[in-house]
Order: sequence, then C-alpha cells, then structure tokens
Amino acid sequence: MAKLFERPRITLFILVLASASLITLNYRGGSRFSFVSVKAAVRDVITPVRSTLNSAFSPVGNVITGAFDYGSLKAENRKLKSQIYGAEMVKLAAGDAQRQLNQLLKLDNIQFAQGIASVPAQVISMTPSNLQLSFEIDKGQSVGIRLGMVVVGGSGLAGRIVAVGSTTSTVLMVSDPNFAAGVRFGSGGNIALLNGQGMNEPLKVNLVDPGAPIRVGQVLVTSGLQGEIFPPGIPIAKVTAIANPLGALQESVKAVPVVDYAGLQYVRVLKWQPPS
Amino acid sequence: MAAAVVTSRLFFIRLPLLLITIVVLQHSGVGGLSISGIHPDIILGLVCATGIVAGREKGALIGFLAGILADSFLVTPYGLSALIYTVVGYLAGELERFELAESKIVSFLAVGAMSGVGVLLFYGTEFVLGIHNPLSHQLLAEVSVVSLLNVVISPILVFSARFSLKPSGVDSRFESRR
Repeated sequence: MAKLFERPRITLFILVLASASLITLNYRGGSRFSFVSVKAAVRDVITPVRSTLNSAFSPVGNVITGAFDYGSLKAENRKLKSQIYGAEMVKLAAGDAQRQLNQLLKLDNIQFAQGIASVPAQVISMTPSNLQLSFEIDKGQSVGIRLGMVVVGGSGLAGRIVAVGSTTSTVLMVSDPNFAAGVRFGSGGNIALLNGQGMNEPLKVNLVDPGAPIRVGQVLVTSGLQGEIFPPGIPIAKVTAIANPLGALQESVKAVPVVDYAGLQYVRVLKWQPPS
Repeated sequence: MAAAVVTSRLFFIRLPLLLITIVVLQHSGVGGLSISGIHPDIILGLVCATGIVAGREKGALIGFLAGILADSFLVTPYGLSALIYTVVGYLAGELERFELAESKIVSFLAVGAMSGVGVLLFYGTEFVLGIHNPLSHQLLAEVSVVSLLNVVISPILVFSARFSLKPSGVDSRFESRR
C-alpha cells in the first residue's frame, strides 16, 4: 500500500499551495501584489530572445530549401526563378506598403477621441494563447504607455492595455471574456453593457430593455459614464442579431467588434486615464 | 558517484534552457500556428512529456516552473497556469507508474490525452474563478485541437524531456525520488 505522505505527494501539495497563494494574492493583495512588475521583467528578458529566435529560424529554413535545389544544371533555372520571384516580391511589397499607408492615413483621420494625446504603435504579434485574446504592440513604458490605457484602431476601439514592458505592451481585445465596456446606442443615448465571449463567439450586449431602439447594423459607442474606463463616443461594436424571447427582462443582442483584428497593423494608444 | 554529480549539473543547465526555449517557441513561431483560431500549447505538452518520462515529482515541479513562466505572458491571474501545469505534470507522472514511456507510441498518445485533461482543467478553473464560461462548443474544439497537435509534436517533446531530465547514466538519486 502506498504511503499517504510520500515525497511526490508532499511536493504536489507544496506546489499547489504556492500556486493557490499566488492566485489569492492576485485577487486579494491589491496593487501591491499585482505582479505587474514581475511579469514585465520576465517579458523584457524573454522578448529579445524571442525576436532573435524568430530572425534565426527564417535563414535556417532558407538554407534547407536551398540545399535541395543545389546543382549546376539547375543554376540557370534557379536564377531565372529568383528574378521572377524578386519582381513579384517588389510588386507585393509595393501593394503591402500601400495598404500600410492607407491604415496609417486612416489612423490620422480618426474622428473620435479628438483632443486626447496619443501614441501610434505597430502590432507586432497576436498573443498565441488559448487563454486570452490579445495582441502585442511595439511601444511600452518608454513612451509613456501605462496599464489601462485605451487602444484604438482605424475604425474604433481595439482594446485596452493589460500588460506593459519597457518596449512592448499587451492589448486585451474586445472579444476576450475579461473585456467589458459600457456602451450607448440610439438617438436617446440608451446605455447597455458589452461583454466579450471568447474566441469565435459574438459579443454579448446586456441590459437592453425590451423595445429599446436598437437595430441590426447599429454601431455601439462607449458610454463614458462616471467610473467608466473608456472615453465616450468611441465606436466599439456593430449589432448583428437581436432576439426578444417571450417574457425575458432584456433583449438578447449579439454584436461583432468594429475593428478587424485580422488586418490590424497600426493602432493608436490614447494617453487617457479614467477620472478618479 | 562522479558521473552522478555530472548528471545533476547537466540537469540544472538543461532544464532552464529547455523551459525558456519552450516558452519562447510558444510565444514565437510555433505558438503562432493555429487551427480555427486555436493554438497549440507546447508548454502543456512538455509538462505532460516530463511527467511521463521522469515521474510525478519532476512532472509537478517542471509544471510549476513552466506555469510561472507562462503566466508572465498572460493577463490571467499569476499562478493559474502554474497550478494547472503542476497538477497535470503530477497526473502525467502517475501514468509513468504503468511504464508508458517504455512504449513510444503509447507515451506519445498519453501526452495528447493529458494535454486534453490540461485544457479541461484550465476551463474548469477559469469557470470557478469566474473568468470563462466552459459550456460552449469551443471547449470541445480546443480539447481536440490541442490534444491532436500535442500528439503530433510529442516525439520532440518526449525526446526533449528525456534529454533534459533523464540523460544517459541515470542519476540514482533522481530515480529514487519518483
């Protein structure tokens, strides 16, 4: 019969206790135990290694591909192919440059959040995790970005800053389950609460009274009410479906973010802090 | 005796290198791959492989360390990934009692199965903490995709775990701690 207090079980108990303590400190420890600086330090150490690794992988792939093509008889053929490839790359690069220019121009013509100081930033990666929907930008504390700041894309709210390193920051997307924002809709300025539902799920609009003036295709904007963490008037989502179940106390409303994350390359971080 | 000391030193060099490499890979090229928006979780796969190769205690310990590193890149509460990976590493180590590592195919499949268990534990814990609602079709898709992808890359993970934790000339002290 196995011993109850054998060493692996004691180790498991200690490690689970340590993890549970960390989680508890997160929730109960306030800002003193938020581990923001610890996370930022680890990210700052890992980020250069990550960039180096990314750069290192592409030449290796090129070498492997090139090795298979090696041979004097194929040299001329390869040369011609490379010329065609080069010409195509120039064409594609020109097209990509035009697309990037369009995005930047779109950012400069943003009609919402006027008068709020902001920092332009480039999206460097989508966070490859199933636990959170976020993306990373190439600006951090060094240019004055702080936790909680608002990030806008060309067409509306892209998210908010949830982690800051010295040169990079993480932006939580509108569709993440942890995301919530007060919104307004209709000419009367009705208010509701928008929640992210996770990957491949529509956003959920809560607290919409039955009969409220809401319709499919309507754009919801941030409410900016007292205590709200976003400035007012920023487009955030577009209504895609409305249902009014019999006897329900609120309408069932679904929406999608106005920002197309798949094509997002440049954003603007608003240096806006909610009023205390 | 001298061989054992050398093995221990190698262990303390190889382990941090392996953990950092896996975390970096998860957050660079490999982790960027996705099927229907679902990413592979190679950190979870490594923790499972470690448990299967090296036993419960090492599985739990590596799980904890990997979780702490993984948490640094996420907005989820610090310690959440550490908790899940610790438990998964320990459970994978329980399978080691059945000598799964002796059969390569079975150990690869076990990595996939334990990865699925890990995803379920993540969803369950997030539900308890009020972060996530697990009752969606996304759960099934995520369990399937992560398990499948981790089975595919499990030969590399098992080899890496074996190389880092159980090199040739096995440390007798290491064996006795399972």
